[in-house]
Amino acid sequence: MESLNDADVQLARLKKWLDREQRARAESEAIAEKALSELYTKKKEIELLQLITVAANEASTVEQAMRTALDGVCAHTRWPVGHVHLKDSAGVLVSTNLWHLDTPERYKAFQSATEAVTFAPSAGLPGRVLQQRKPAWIVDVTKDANFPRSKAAQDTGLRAGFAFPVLVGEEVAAVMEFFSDEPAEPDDAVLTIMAHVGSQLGRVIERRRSEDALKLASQHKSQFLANMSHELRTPLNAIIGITEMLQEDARDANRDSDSEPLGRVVRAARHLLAVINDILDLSKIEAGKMDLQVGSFAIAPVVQDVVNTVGTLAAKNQNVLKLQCPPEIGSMCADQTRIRQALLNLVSNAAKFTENGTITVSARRAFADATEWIVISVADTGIGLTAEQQGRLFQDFVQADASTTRKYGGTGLGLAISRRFCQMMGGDIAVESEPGRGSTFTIRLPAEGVSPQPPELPKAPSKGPSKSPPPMARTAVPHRAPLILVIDDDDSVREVTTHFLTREGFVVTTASGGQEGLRLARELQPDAITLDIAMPDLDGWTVLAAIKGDPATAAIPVILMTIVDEKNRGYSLGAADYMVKPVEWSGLARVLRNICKSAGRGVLVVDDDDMMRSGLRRALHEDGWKVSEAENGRVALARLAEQRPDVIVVDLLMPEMDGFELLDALRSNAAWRDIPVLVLTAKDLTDDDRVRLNVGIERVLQKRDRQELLREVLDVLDRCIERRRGESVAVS
Amino acid sequence: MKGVVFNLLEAVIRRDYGDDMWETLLDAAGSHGAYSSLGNYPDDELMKLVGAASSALKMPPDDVVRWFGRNALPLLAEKHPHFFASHKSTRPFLLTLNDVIHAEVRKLYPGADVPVFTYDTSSPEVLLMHYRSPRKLCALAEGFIEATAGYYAEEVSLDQPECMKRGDDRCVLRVSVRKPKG
Repeated sequence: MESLNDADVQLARLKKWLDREQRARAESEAIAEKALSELYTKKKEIELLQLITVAANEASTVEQAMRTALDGVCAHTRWPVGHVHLKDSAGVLVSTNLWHLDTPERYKAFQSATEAVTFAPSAGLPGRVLQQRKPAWIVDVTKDANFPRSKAAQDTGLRAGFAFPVLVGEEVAAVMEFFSDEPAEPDDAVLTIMAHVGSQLGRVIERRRSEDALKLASQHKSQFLANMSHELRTPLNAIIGITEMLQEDARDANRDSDSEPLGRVVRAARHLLAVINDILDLSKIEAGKMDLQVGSFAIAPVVQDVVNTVGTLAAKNQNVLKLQCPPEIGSMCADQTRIRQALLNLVSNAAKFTENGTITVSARRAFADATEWIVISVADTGIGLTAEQQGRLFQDFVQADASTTRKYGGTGLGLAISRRFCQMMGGDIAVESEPGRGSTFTIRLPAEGVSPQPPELPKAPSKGPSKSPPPMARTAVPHRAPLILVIDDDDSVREVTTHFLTREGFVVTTASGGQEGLRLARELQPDAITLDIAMPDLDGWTVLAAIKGDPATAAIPVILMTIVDEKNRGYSLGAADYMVKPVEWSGLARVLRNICKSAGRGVLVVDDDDMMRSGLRRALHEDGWKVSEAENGRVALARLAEQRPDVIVVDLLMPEMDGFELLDALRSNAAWRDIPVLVLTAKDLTDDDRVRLNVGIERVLQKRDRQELLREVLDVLDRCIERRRGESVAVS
Repeated sequence: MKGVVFNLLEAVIRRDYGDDMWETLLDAAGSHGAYSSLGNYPDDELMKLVGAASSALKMPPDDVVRWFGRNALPLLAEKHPHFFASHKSTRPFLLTLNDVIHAEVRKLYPGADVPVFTYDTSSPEVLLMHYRSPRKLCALAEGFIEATAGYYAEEVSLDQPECMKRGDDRCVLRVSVRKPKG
């Protein structure tokens, strides 16, 4: 019995133990479940906050961030309705169109009731939040004394509501409110998280406000700079133009004692202009307003051109300027003007800081970081730079040291600007140097270029064949000196422009205002118009739009000549070209010649060599010529009968009817006798040949290097057209 | 007090005094005895169990607590060896209590109300640990410290120049440790 009793005791004890263990286990599970559920809630809260934070940082507008928050909070709480009220300038909450509605149809009445009213501080749920600047919760809005929309809520079945402020500092900028279908007790965790949401959104508004303020300040700055640039460049423009006229007169009259100081005035004024341009460039880059005109272009001519430009400066310091840039380097895609500007800066710096030395400009292609690069380096044997000087080199307004400025001049902005340009094009400028040994500056640019922003409009749409056919009046009369209409309200600009363009062989008419300009454009049908922007009676943009809008004048190319640098706007309005005052006369003349030439001057190319013909056709076509072709003299005569070209390019040795025979035929026909002829030949000319060619031949070119030949052909043809133009000017 | 402490007490009582003793103590303390290691239970319940053990084992309560600490620590070391393995002796281990050991305890047992010690390390031989807690479980600390020295096979001498139980406003545990000779 004793042992049975023992066993019972043992059993009872084990049972007790088991009960205890089961209870402990249940307790553990309850603890774990509670912890898991809390963890889940926390995770959801973190996700919501993360959503709001990302939206706050990345949303491009406040509205977008708020919409994300509305949807996020509704998803988090599983409440069907959310809405945003914004505080207006009177300090009252005004309903917005920002809603989250699970079923829009169902809550329509509540939506209308909300949008129909505004909430003053303490009025209704939003007003309460506005006044107290902290979240508020209503267990059942249909039973709340301070809830003006309770009827609409009752009708649509909305019961619980909470709202929280979007705080900018201490100020309530907006209130977000949410409603559920069931009455609900306040949830402190939700309210805590909503306070975070509100402050995150507040930061978006704060950021937006400061951005707006900055933008406004930047606009004011840009406007100021534009005005200043106008104010500065207008008088400079007159100084440079008039002084150049005086200087020319003095030179013509051999009055050297007058010409020399006038030259100094021009140089000083041009320097001042360069300084102003530098400062404006830099401010524009700073303001993000510098537009790049990205396009594909051949590298070698640009580099060659820069080297030619700096030649004189280099020679002045007894420097040898070497160029290593083979034509095979090909093309790149970038802003040609800016690259030219940067390279010019580097090469002229090298020329400036080197005496009795060598400056080597070399260009090559390189492959790195999966990108093809164009590397252009400018190496000199000049004074060089210390490591410390190199460090300060690219900083704005800083030269190697202050004494450098006095000795060598310059603004100290050139390098900084050049570097910014290269960086905008996806590249950079680097320097290696040793004091006393020389410096090497290297421009590195991606060959294919970068597109920082899509170009607003293709450049110069009116260049090349224009959509509307050119008026017959202008094309029908070949070899007339081109008529240019100059529209500008500034007397000195009109005077100076007339002076230089007349000298360049153009006939010039002027108009002192937009109205007069439009009238003359219609009446005279000029070959081209130069147009000022800032004019009192009718501004240039309006005039340009009117010219392009009138079929009678739409085809006349317009060159904007202005102080306001808004190229893209000009091109988008149909300007053929855009020149910033003070205008480089040779540049304007070149542009005008191109434009006038493209009004349909014809050239007949006679050659049996297909390659040669197609090469010439392409080059001439690019230069604005209308090209017709013939493979021998007989075909050429047929072409001549169809249409009389302005110039003929002819090969000597051809089957069927050779060049000599063709020339004889031309001379025997009165209608063709006057057509200038350019002879291209691979033949070594005999004395006999020369005699035969002596009459009526513009020039004989030997066929050797193709590229060079093409360039020469273009040159000769240009000159020949210009000479004719001069003749007609003389007779007109 | 965290349930894990009750679990440890149960383990050492059962091991050294048998299952019946634990049942006796539970009955004497009037406890249900179901302790989850994650749960929290009143400090008073632990003190009642200590009081019951004191009567049953005929030991002063502080001696029971010290004995418990000395015997519980090896179980902890077995369960969490990495806390101990990163040190080679008692003193550096004791110095990590606040920042490492108790920090980890808080992670394992959220809500654990572990004491914060302050140290006086001005002497390289004698470490002074200051303990201040309404639980006044300095004897548990003593037991833990003695067992820690045992874990590192060191000899320790330990006394309390100040003790809250003697009316001081804090306890000062004076610990000097040395490697055994030979």
